[in-house]
Amino acid sequence: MKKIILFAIILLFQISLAQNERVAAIGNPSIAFKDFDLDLNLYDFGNNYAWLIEDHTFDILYIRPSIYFLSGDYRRFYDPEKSFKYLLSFDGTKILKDGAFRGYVIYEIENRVNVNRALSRYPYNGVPFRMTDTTTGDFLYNGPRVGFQYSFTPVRDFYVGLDLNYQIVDGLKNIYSRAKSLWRNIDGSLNLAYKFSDDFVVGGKLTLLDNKESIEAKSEDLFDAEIFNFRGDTYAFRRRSQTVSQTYREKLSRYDLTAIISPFQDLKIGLKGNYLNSNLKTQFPYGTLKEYEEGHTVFEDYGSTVRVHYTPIKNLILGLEGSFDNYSSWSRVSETTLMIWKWNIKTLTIGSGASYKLSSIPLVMVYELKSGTIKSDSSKYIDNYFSKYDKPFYSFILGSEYEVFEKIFLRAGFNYSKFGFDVIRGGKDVITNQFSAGIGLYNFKSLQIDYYISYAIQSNSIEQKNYFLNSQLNIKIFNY
Amino acid sequence: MLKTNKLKYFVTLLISILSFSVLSGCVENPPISIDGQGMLELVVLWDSTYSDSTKAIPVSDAKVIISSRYTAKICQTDQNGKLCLSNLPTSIYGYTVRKPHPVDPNIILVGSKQNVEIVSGKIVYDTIYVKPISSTGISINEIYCAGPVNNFFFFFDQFIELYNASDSVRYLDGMMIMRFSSNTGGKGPGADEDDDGDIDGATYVFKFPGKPGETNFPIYPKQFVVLASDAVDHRNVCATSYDLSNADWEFYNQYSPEDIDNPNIPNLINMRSDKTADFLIALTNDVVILSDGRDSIWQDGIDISTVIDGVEYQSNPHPQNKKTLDPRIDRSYVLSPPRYSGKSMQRREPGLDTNDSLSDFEILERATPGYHK
Repeated sequence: MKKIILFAIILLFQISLAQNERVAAIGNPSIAFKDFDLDLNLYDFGNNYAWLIEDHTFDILYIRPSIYFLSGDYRRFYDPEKSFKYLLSFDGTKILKDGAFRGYVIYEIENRVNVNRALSRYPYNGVPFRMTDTTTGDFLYNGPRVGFQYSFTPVRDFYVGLDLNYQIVDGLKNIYSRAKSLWRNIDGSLNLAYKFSDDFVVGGKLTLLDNKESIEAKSEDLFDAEIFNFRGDTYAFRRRSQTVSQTYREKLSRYDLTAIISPFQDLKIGLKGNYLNSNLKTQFPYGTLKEYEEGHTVFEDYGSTVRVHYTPIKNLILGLEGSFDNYSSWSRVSETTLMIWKWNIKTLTIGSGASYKLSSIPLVMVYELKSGTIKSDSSKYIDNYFSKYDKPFYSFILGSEYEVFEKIFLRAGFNYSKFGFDVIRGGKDVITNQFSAGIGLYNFKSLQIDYYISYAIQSNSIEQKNYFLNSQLNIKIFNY
Repeated sequence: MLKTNKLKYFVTLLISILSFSVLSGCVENPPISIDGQGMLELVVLWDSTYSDSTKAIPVSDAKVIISSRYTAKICQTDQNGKLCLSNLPTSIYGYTVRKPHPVDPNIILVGSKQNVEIVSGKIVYDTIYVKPISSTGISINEIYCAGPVNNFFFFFDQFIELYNASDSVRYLDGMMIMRFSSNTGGKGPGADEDDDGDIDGATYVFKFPGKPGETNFPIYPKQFVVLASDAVDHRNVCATSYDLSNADWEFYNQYSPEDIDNPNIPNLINMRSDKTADFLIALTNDVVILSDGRDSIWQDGIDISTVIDGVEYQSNPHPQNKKTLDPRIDRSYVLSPPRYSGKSMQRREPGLDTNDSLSDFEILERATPGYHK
């Protein structure tokens, strides 16, 4: 849901699960680092699945167990005190006769400890229509996510990709009001790409998403379930019955255009732009069959990124990146058609990076520096609360990979960031120090093992702190 | 040539996607009007003969209970009897003003208004004239219907408490206590269905012995009278329940072979032979009526003129639950406590009935049979 919409913003503040253990272990650089998952091509840079057939040229199966832990007192009213997340994923790519196929299945278990009142899975998704009860309790979410990508070339130099994902997550609160949450997500995309030449490739992508979260509070005792439907942060009305339910329904469409240009042999430029709009309806049952629309929220986002890779000498990659993103949303009460919230976030980022593989010793070093501004303008009309921020941020990454023995790698990284204003949690001068380390064992036949662990401390101007621990293992099996 | 065709093919597809995106991507325009900008300027006046002035006196420092579907908020008027509230969300509001009489503590100045629509962006100017209200007669002072905390559906410790707020002895002879829960197909329980001056939908009708006008069963000034469904110590069955063995009256259905009867407690008896259950009311939403008994023909409705007091309670605020009791008896309803919570509904001041139950009643954590907390 908003996990996707606010993905870019969240990335700025959250320590998220790694897609690549090697990259995560050295601090998560993205601008100038040579890796299988960080190529400047349509698949890695533009997320265009039509290019899967060009990006993946061999059969591979990833088996990934991972753990994620978050705790701390830098949290918002509806946040949990702690969060534990366990994932196990199987992700395989098979090269077919006339295309490439990638399929995955992930099983996710998340235990949110002492969630304060919130009953929806993402209470801070930019939507003012919150469903709460009056207790603090644990929420256990679990469920699978499955999906596939298929890429083929109907005619020469023309690529088509299809992608379909399905996720269902079951959540349960362990205390009154015993709320059950059923979170279901279906998204798919049509991807097209055309290779004008080896130096110029263009891709387009259309993504459609349908997301639904159904929450049902039902007291297992004889008590009624008493639920508060918030409109904004201040005003709520009460609903009480033996069973109280509510539904969030979102439909989203997103459009991406990506171009990869290589004007010189050692220079590669990636350009991408995206536009997204979605609407989310908050509904609850009315009568036997009808659904009453409580609220309506519209999101509109657009953004663009340019990334440049330059290889002036062998083993040296220089990178530059600039991006602009605009996220906006408004919400209205359906009954009165009055707007109650409106917000807008703009981010402008400029970054540079370099990585170098030493020739004298088997060591790769990488650095990355990003800087930018975040402008946020929030009007919570119904709460009579208005805020505007225009604050800078910057982040710095330093990492290295050392081959201690043949095909055995040790990795370490450090990632520092400072945000003048945290649009997600609302803190000021938020500093994050993340330390990461990992190991790569590539000395097996048809098998590689990567492992990484990271620990991060996040603090704000009033010394509230969050602690993140992330650990992930990846067993790669080739030609399975 | 082949390359050109492929390029055309690709460009056509791309244009199709972009066209689709433009068509489907037409984002809905945001509303022009915004919520949370409503304003209320309220002046509270007392047109009093107590002072020699012919002008109305502003009521300063009066408690104003502002209620809407969102919340109930308690404010105070300033020295000029004014109350200004801003940034109110659009809703239907009701307000009740209360202030103790400056001289006589037995009198309360009360004024209220319901169904005032406050729309965002507009100012509502309103004047409330308070009137001195003294508790003058018998009223329903407390209703305990939720049942105690338990997990075996126990709710048989229900009681209704009456209070004589007057300074004179009143008599209960022939009075009737009724539950109105039928007539759901029409205007609802307790509504004046045919606009003929009576309320319809009586399901349980119990009465005190005797006839109206007789003087056998007095209720003394400031006396509480507890009418128990079953006048026994319910704690023997459910530890969190109440001891009603000292209740003043007990509902007893003489047509029921199994209704409990405490021989030491006088009975209210059932007037409907077709009803064989004890007098029990719904746990979270119902209508309870006390009438003087002059109109005992419940089949065609109970004349409103004979109704002494009536209270409706509902679990959810307006408009989620519909108010059905005739507004001449009660203009609003009490927001009842959750079922099996052991909580009860009691008037804020003993016996003070302004026919506005939403503000007259409050929720007690524990029921108080026979006394006022």
